Amino acid sequence: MTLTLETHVDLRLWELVGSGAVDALRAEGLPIPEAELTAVEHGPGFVACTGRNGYLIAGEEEWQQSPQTPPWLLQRSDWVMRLSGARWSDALTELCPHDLGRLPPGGWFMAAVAGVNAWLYRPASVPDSLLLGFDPSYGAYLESMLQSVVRDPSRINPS
Amino acid sequence: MQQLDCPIIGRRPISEFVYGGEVRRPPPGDAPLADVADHAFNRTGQPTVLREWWFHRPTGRWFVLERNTLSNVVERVVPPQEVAYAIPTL
Amino acid sequence: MPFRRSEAGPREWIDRHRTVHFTFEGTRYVAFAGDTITSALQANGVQLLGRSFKYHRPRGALSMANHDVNALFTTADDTNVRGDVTPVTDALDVRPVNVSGSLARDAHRHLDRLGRFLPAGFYYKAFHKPRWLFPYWERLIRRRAGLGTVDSAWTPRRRPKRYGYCDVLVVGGGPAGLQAALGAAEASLDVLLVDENPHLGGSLDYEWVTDPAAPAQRDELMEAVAASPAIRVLTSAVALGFYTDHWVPVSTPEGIIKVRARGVVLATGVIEQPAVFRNNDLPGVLMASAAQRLLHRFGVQACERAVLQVNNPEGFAAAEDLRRGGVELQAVVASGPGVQKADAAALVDAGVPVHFGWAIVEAHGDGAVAAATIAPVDAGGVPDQTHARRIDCDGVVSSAGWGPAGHLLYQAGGRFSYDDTLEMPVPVAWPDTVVPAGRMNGVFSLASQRDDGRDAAGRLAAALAGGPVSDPMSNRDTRAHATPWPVVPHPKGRDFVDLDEDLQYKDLIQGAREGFDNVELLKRFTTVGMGPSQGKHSNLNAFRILARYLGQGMDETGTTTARPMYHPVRLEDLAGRRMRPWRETPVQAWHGEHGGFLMESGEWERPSFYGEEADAQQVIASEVTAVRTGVGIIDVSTLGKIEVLGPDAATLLDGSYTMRQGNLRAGLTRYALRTDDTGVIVDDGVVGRLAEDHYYLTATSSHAEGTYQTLTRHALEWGLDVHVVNRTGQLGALNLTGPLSRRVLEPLVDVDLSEAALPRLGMTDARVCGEWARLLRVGFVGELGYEIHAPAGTMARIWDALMDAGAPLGIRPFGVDTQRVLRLEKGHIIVGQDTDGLTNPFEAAMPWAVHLKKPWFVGRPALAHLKGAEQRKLVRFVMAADSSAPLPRESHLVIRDGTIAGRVTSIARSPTLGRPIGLAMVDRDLAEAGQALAIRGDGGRMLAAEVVTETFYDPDGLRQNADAPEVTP
Repeated sequence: MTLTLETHVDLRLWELVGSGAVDALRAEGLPIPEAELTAVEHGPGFVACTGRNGYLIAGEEEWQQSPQTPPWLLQRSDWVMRLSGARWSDALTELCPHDLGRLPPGGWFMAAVAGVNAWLYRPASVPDSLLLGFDPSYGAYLESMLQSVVRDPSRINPS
Repeated sequence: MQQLDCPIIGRRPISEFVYGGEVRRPPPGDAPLADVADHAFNRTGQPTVLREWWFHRPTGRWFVLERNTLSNVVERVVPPQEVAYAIPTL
Repeated sequence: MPFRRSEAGPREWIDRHRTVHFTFEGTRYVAFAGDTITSALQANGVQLLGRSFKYHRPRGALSMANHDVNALFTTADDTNVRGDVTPVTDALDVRPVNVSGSLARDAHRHLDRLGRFLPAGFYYKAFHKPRWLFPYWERLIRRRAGLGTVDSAWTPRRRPKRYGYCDVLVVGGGPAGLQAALGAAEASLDVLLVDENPHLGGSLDYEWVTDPAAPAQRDELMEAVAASPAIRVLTSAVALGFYTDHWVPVSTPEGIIKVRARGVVLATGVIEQPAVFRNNDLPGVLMASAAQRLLHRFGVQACERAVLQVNNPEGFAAAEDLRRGGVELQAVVASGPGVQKADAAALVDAGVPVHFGWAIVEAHGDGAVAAATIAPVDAGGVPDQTHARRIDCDGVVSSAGWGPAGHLLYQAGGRFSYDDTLEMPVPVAWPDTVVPAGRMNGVFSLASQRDDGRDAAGRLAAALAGGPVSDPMSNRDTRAHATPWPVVPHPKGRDFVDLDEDLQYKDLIQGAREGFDNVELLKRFTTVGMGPSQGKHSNLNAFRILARYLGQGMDETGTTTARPMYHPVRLEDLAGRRMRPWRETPVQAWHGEHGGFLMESGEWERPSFYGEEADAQQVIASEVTAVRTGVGIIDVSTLGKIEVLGPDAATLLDGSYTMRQGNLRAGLTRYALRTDDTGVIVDDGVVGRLAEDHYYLTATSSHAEGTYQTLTRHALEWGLDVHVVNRTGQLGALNLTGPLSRRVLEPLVDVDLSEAALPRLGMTDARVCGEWARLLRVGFVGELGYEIHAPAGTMARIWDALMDAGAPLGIRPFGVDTQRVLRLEKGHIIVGQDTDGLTNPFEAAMPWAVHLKKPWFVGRPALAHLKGAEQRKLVRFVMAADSSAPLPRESHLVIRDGTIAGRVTSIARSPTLGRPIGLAMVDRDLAEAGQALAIRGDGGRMLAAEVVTETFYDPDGLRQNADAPEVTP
């Protein structure tokens, strides 16, 4: 039962907000999630809908911060990690008050992990893994918390 | 640990929220001093169904809930449009 | 004396093939794996297990279930170890608590003879006079009170907590709980079954062991549970309490699991209650369920010749159980509505003397029970001494009745009522999703317990499916299982109700008589139920005693509140893993590597200056001078940064800030002040405009999140079409400032830095080192300067590039304390330091920041009235340059005519002006140029200062001209 943690995943994040956001996504050939707080897979990353006219794009593309007209494309610097292994949700039972084992493949969720706001994405194509991203200023703290959980030999889940 | 059931985000533990206080309309910009002070300092403490602001930190969303302060049960989720008002501008 | 039976019983928890060696009070003993400390000692014939809290009376096993703390020990790792339920391990070194010397020769055992001077509540009434002696008594009592000693050199071993989930949580693995778990699993629900014991089975493993019908049922239940994939089992798992929305912390040896269930079945059973008679606390006096636990789980026979008091059918069954196990029953006394002569048939046939209508009056013995006096008693517990009989024995076993283990049901909002048929409280109301089952619900026969478990699971499943919930079947028994009055008060006392707290019958009567005649008051005055067992073996009897004293019913008398935790929990378990978030800026590592003296600032650690702590003053002064004469760079990534986008962006900011923002021209910034509804300053920052519908603003580090929450709420509240994006952690920021700053920056940017292109207070997007960044010309420290905001991922590179480019010009990194001096030289305030929880902008000498022309903004209604009404004002002051006296500090007071007339809010020696300068909040009439201020510093020393109105440094702002000849590249 291996459980591995990659502490730095090379994914770039962009926030797209404002009227015309959906058209902009379509123009770039990006998939469009239907409902708020859902995501669709896109390459190694995803496109998530965070609100009315608000999207989060995670991928390897290089864009520019957009000029001053809607929709606005804002560069982010999320620190992204990945948990891999059939029991990835075990690691989070110590840090996140949600039954993440029930997150379906392709599922997107925003919650606090070890007290820090994070987005969580379970890629449909790699369901035995979880991507997590958060404010980079908390990166060192979360890296240390996740590593200590993943390495903890006494980690047990009731089963 | 209480849970709050909100639209779109679902049932979440209350630790994910920040309490934003009672939904109230402020007095107009030129209100008399007594009204200003009353709004700023006075609240009704009696048991009631209180309309409240709740902020969900992981998603950055605000919700308006009606909570029975005696039973601590949330009775209704209020669409934000119901509490919105326009502020006078220059 | 107790001993281990050589013949193994059918349900033993011990493994007779694995021996364990341990020591107790220095003597080595042998036990079996699976023994608890108490069972191991009893097996070795050790009856004296502890000394009581107050009187240091000898104590032995009473409940064998952690419902009392007679058997409390200390080991190398731990103290206050509960012997009843703590397993013995190899090489375990066990010692008693609360003794001076050995258990047998405890130096405090004479306290028992001083008992009459130490009644309940004696400490409230004694030791007041003479007053000067009180500290002596206090120290003495503190040393004597308490049980185990804490090892202050203890190293905590945190046990991380985790979350657990299920549809149905079943608490209790006895017959009702096992059946309920199966019922819930059959309804396709995911079940978590927890039991505090190391094995499932509950009463099946001690009470029903010799019942002919029980073993088959037990096997059936256990096999079905083990085979069910929907049922997870946790043993040695204690459900600690019930919290809102089915949140139940479960304590396991590996740590606490915080379980969220959708529904809960409470099959927690009942707690046996002791009979109250003189010396009922002697070692060898124990409850029937304890004797059965010892016998069936641990193969220990509690005594050889016993006197039994029976008040319910369980008692007769236990008597028969013990008799067949080899105990000689010298006499059985039985009284009360729980007794039916038919139940005694087997005993009578076996020739055991059974006395109906009799009870135990007194136990006798020195250190262990050696005899018991029995007599006929009336309903008031008054014995008929003329017929009293003294019987030799080495064990007294009582089965007086049961109290429900209803704690979690109470906490879930359930209600109990005293059932006059059963003679115990039973649940009468509970939420649909928190259901009682089994003996806790007043259901006693084995078959009925299973029915009750099945019924509870069915109703719970219906409630979870959202359907109608049927009324509960009544599986409750229709006869008494207790005596309503298990008390035979003795004129000489020592008839204990609460053994944890050494409370006798007369202590409770005395408390009630003194006026503490309400359950809550009686509890707190006498401390009944406040010991480590929290009333498990004492509360019900105490309520019975109070009810009888008051002449009222049990319901009318009431109960005290059952609070979590059900059993005590280690702090290590409650603390769990340490989760204290900290944050780092993109340049964090650089500061540490380059001599930054770091200080905690909220969740961040920021360099105060770059140098040794001992040289702080000089280093800060030289950093100030470097910024004023050359160029300095500071990491301000902790600033709040918020992007406001959309058609209503201007309205949002106009309504949230005191100054107009709607008329801000694109490409410029403006100071921004926020107040609350009372006009009190909450935060400040800078608002910049990039386009008609695009603003970018900063907030102080500590208010970044609060500003974001306030703005997003206003957007909803005012129905605005606007997006508010919190970029605080996503972007880093630095401040490059000093006359030479333009020269350092120019080669690295792609925009024109002339005064015309980027004027003072201007803002523009640009490319710095080829990457997107945002430049703001801000004037916080009063020199030509550029605040550069860039994505956290590129910030470190930009910092390094600026350090390289600035090296030939002597660029100096500077820290937070240096920045504080620099801004003070410009007279700029820091919110939270120069303002307090009541400061409004008029008091802070910033009337220009309040644009009352706006018809409405947050705080306007108050500010319109506050204008001109300020009673105090923030002023600038200077002190004599050559003074070698220590400076006053922040919050030192301004004194006038012997009273407080203000306080210092900021102060520093200004290297630039060569004298101390500061800000102070003073009474309004002191806020005049030239006014002398007397400040009381350390040691009461008065120091002189003078108010000035002009800002200390560069009052005309000439230093910030980007085209000045000395600054252009």
